[in-house]
Amino acid sequence: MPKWIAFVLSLSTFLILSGCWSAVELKDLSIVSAIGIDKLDNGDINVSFQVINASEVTGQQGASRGASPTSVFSSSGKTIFEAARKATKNVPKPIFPPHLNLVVINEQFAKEGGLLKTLDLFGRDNELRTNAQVMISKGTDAKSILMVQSPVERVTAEKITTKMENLEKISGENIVMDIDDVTSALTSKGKELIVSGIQISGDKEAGQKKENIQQSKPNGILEINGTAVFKDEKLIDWLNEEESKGVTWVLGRIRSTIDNVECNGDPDAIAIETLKSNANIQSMIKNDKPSIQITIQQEGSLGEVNCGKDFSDPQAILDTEKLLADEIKKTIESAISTAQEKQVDIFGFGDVVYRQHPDSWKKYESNWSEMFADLDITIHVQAHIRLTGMKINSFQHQKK
Amino acid sequence: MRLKNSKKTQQISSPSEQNGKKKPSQLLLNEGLEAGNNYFKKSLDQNKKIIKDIVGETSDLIEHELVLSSDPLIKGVVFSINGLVDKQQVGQFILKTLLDDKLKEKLVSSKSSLLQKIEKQILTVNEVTLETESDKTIHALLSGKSILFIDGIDQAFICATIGGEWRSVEEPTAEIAIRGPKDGFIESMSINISLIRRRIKSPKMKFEVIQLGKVSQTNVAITYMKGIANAKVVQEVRDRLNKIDVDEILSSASVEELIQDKAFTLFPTMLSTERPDVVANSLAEGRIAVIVDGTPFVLIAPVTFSQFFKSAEDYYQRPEISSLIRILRYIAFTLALLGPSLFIALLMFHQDLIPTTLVITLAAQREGIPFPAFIEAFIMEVTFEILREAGLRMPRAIGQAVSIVGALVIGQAAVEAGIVSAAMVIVVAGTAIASFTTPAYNLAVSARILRFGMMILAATMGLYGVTLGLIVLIAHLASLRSFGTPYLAPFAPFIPEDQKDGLFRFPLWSRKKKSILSNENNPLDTEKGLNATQPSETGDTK
Repeated sequence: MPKWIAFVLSLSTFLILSGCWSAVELKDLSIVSAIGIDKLDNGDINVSFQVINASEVTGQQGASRGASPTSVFSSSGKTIFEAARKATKNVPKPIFPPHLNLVVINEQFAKEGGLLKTLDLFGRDNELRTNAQVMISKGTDAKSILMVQSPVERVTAEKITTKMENLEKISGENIVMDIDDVTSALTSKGKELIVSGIQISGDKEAGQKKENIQQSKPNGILEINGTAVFKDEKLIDWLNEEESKGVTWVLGRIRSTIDNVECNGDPDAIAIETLKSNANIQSMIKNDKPSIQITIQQEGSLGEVNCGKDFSDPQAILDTEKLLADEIKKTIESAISTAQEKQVDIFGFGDVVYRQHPDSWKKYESNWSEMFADLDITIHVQAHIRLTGMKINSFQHQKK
Repeated sequence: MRLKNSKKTQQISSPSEQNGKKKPSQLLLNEGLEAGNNYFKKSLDQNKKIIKDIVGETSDLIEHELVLSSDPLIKGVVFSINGLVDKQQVGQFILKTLLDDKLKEKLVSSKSSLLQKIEKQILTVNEVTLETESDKTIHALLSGKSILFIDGIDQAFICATIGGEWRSVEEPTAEIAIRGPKDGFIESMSINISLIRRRIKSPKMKFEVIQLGKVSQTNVAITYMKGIANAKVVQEVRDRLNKIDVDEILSSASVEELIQDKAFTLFPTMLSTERPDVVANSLAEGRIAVIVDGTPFVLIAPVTFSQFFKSAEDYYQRPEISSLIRILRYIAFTLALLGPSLFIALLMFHQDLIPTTLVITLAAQREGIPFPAFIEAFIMEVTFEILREAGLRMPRAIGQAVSIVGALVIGQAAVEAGIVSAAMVIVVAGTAIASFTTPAYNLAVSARILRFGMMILAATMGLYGVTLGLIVLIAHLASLRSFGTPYLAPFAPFIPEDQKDGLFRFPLWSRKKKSILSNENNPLDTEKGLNATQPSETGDTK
């Protein structure tokens, strides 16, 4: 047999071995942008898929029918996988989830420990991505969250995820948690899980209509609100924004935020923008009792000054830095006291002890929650104001 | 009728060497020639008959009878071919001298023989050779020289009066350099040789001329720098050329086809150029050029894959710019090869690899498209190939019509009609533009053909198929050799010195040595690949 015939024959085996069985046309897929998970009264799991109507989103000339940019289809089953398969009955085209952005979990379901049930499928299925953000629907069911029509950004899932990323970046009041983060927090013994909440503000019914996005002030909008605290895989309580920010400070994930400090008797006269922050957590064991020391280093600039203070005087800057340090410390303390009260180590202090004192950790591991509740925690904040913005003094000072 | 290894080469640079040497000629000008080779006789009439018997019955043969002197009666005849000779030279330097009034004195006064007198004292033409055999004389006649017979002399005077009309030296059409020299080769080999010689005034440069084609008797020159070019490669070029056994050689493309290393490959293993500066540079690097009379394209060997990405312009611009543009060409070649196939693979198999926003846009565009992505791409690519072919073949006067219709077919109208998606038009158009950046047209054509194969692989197996295709392609490239030199050198095998003019172009001052791939000091074992069997000989490759 000539060499080239052998070559062609051996090449043709590739065709037999593989084949085009997995080929599918893009137009035959329902691109899923968000999944909502609720629990029905009969105990079944209800899965909702937010499917993108591509031609409505891109606004292609002629192709748009004026329909809603996203459609929500839901179905139920004993497991999520079963429910997802059943969804094929009402979703027009096969579900294609790799572009999933957001997973919304019903608050009630999370309280019953539904989060853990959800995660296995996401880690196991090859079409699902673990970088989708996880959020808890606050005060409503997950399906309703997916059904809200949102202005400006057409796909609500994308709107929420970008909003979350921005919020974390500019305020530090929320922490982005994707499926990987949730899984690692759930499996860690020295850290409890926190997940941001999302709620509908305004009229829930009106928010689901297309008219919602046709008016300048929408009737119902999605709002990121609060941070859910988990203990033993179950949602137990919500942190407010101040407390969430305290957590973010301790985790060292503050990239930028605004803190107001007192000036000449006005409690919120100066706004300081944080530009850089760093948190260092050290654990110490004394008399077989662990303690935690948190050192926060912050650098910022004056964002807004509404008092007559003379900032050309270095002492004024030093004074303000001290006030700011106190302010940050207060924020952190409020978060810590709430966490200690509920006995949930959302800061991961247990992980710190485990890393720094692995031998001692074995002793604390079993009853860490109780130990955390009366842990001795000291906070040092080093606040610095490096810049004063485009000018030094306020109008009030110039008027004097 | 095999002429293997029988042709004798002659050096154009020293034509006088050949004089007087008598070689048994086996050349046959014409297969229909009955008389075969004849030796000239003393009688003028007989000589005239010999020539006319062979060449006669054609209107472009000019016969001019002369009477040199009436007492004693000396007659002669001049033959030439209309259009091939410089008539002014024939008139001034042959006819006028022979018909001069003072000729008689010269003929009588001198003691030497009539033959010597005419050759040495009378003919003022630039170059005169004497020939006794008819077939060589007729070859000279058909090459544009004039033949003079004198009654009583059994030899022909061959006067170099080659002339006639040539296209003038113009700017090359296929290879354009903004800052480089503007002259390009033309169809005349002697002018082409002069264009190269003007650039390298070195005695080392040799032009060996042989005649190829049993009927066409085309002059083919092997050009190289003695002492720089690898002597073995030169010998190999000589051998392969001598093995050519066809009737006509009408272009350098047929020579390339007959002497290239591998018969069945889409990749060119010889570079063809119409720029004398490229040939001069290649010769200085130790490469060998093959000039074929009648074609403005000169072949260069051995060449490597990277050679086809170098443009003459690279050496006339700053090295930084040239390096960047050269990298751009590699990227564009990859795009031209893989553009549609990657797009098909992503659209049909790997929708999860496309960024979300893009996948939504693509999905929206594809909603109304009736065909699968592969069929769509195939239709578009074939349409583009048809347009390109139409653009090349049609008369220039109707060129505008095609571009208008083409823009409609591959453009807005097709998208608006909902037959193809806008993204596919962008991919196909981008691929087409990318394919034009390859300086070597013949390599760009390879990419065009391979693109379709890659598209089929992508449509059946996705990125897996594209990867398989690339593996086979690279294995094939690695197996290719150009006159012994590995095709992927200097990348594989890796030659550090030659990297200075590979992917990048280093500044000239940093390159102490010329490319070592092609010259005498070649570190690679090139002999293994040298003895490639000619496809024309065995009908198969080695």
